[in-house]
Amino acid sequence: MRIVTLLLLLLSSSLLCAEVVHIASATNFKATVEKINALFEAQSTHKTTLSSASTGILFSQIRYGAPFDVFFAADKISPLKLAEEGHGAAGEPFCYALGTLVLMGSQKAEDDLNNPALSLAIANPNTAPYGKAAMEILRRPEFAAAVGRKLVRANNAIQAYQHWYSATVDLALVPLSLAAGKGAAISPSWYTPLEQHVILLKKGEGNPAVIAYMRWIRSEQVQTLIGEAGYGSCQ
Amino acid sequence: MSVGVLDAIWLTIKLASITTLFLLLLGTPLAWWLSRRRTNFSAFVESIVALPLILPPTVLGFYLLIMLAPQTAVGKFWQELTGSQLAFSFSALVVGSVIYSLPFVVQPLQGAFSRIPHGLLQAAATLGAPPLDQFRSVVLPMCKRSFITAASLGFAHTVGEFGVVLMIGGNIPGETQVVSIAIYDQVESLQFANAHRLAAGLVIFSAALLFLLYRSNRQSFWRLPE
Repeated sequence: MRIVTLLLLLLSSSLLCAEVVHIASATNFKATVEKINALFEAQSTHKTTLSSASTGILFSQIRYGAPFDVFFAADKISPLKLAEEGHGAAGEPFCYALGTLVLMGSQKAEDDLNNPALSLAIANPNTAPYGKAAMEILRRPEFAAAVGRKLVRANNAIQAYQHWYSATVDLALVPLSLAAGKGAAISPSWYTPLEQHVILLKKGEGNPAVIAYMRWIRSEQVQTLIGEAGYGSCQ
Repeated sequence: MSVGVLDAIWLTIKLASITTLFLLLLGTPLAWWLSRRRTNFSAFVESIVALPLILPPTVLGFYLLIMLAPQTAVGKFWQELTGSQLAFSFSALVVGSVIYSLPFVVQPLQGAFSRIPHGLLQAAATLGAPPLDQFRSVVLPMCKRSFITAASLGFAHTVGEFGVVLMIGGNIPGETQVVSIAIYDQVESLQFANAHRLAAGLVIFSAALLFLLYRSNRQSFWRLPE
């Protein structure tokens, strides 16, 4: 009998906090979303959960029915495609941050990117927008001399950073948001701008917690937070 | 320990327990049937049951993902039956885990069932015992050890699952983020201390379970030589 009561309690406790925002975020933005969510929970009665993976993986999970309300992608095309396929709620996906790449383990990116002796980690170009941008840089004619270098493809942007952090590679092309003030700057003209878009998904339509959350991420306070985390502003 | 970690542990125990229950309910009749038949068809079924031992979890995860998606027949049927979606839910993890751990339950049981002499069951039948009673009074006591082995392996293997759960569960805290996924998540967030704690916990749990299992098997082996 006591076990039944306990089970009922557990079940009801999960029913009571039904106003939850399920968020999916590209790994580069994970740490920032955690901050955004903590502040959101502190000033409202709503709760949040966060799942992170590379943009491409989350994109296909959502197409297969993953129950997310909000999706922070690292690019523009994935949210737009989801909206086009009818996975989005009313309202267009919008740009929330402008991503920037840096080269970890380097003082001067021009020199080190052209040195075939240095191994380099990037995020998987097939699933991660930051990996795709990194490939754009590596394919530039001025870095042709380093084409034969050891190139490690990580699952996502954080893993690329991890490979450098654990000293398994010499260099890593990662988002500025992960670099913690280190790394060499990369010229923005070397790659297509990473206009990171967010989309409100069909699953979250009509949920007051989600509506409050969408209003919250457009607020001045969150915009400042995103800027401090190493992102540029859109436009 | 943070709430997230406790959630993951609770979810893992819940998943492994429910999976083991289903495995015993499904695996017992299946193992019985396999132990009594020697046909091409039973050999075919046996090989299908053993497939998860050989195939990479990505293959199983990939097919399950395609099968359970909301736009498929299975996905639609589930949606109509329960009103909630199957893919990326706890129920999907149970389905995946049952398939993935099936050989760990069926194989020990099948081995034990095939060692029961035919004469014993015939004797019980002659004495008027209906099939269910034969099973309860003859098979169950004789194969108790194998049932414990099967249940423990099914449970432990479900706890140790990663690839399938990641593919069909999608790393959602409180819903599909089991311990193995939580470790992956923490390593990704560079929270190595948390990852260490969970990983060490999993090593100790698994080693202890296997030790208890092998010790109990050895003891009863010496007491009841076969």
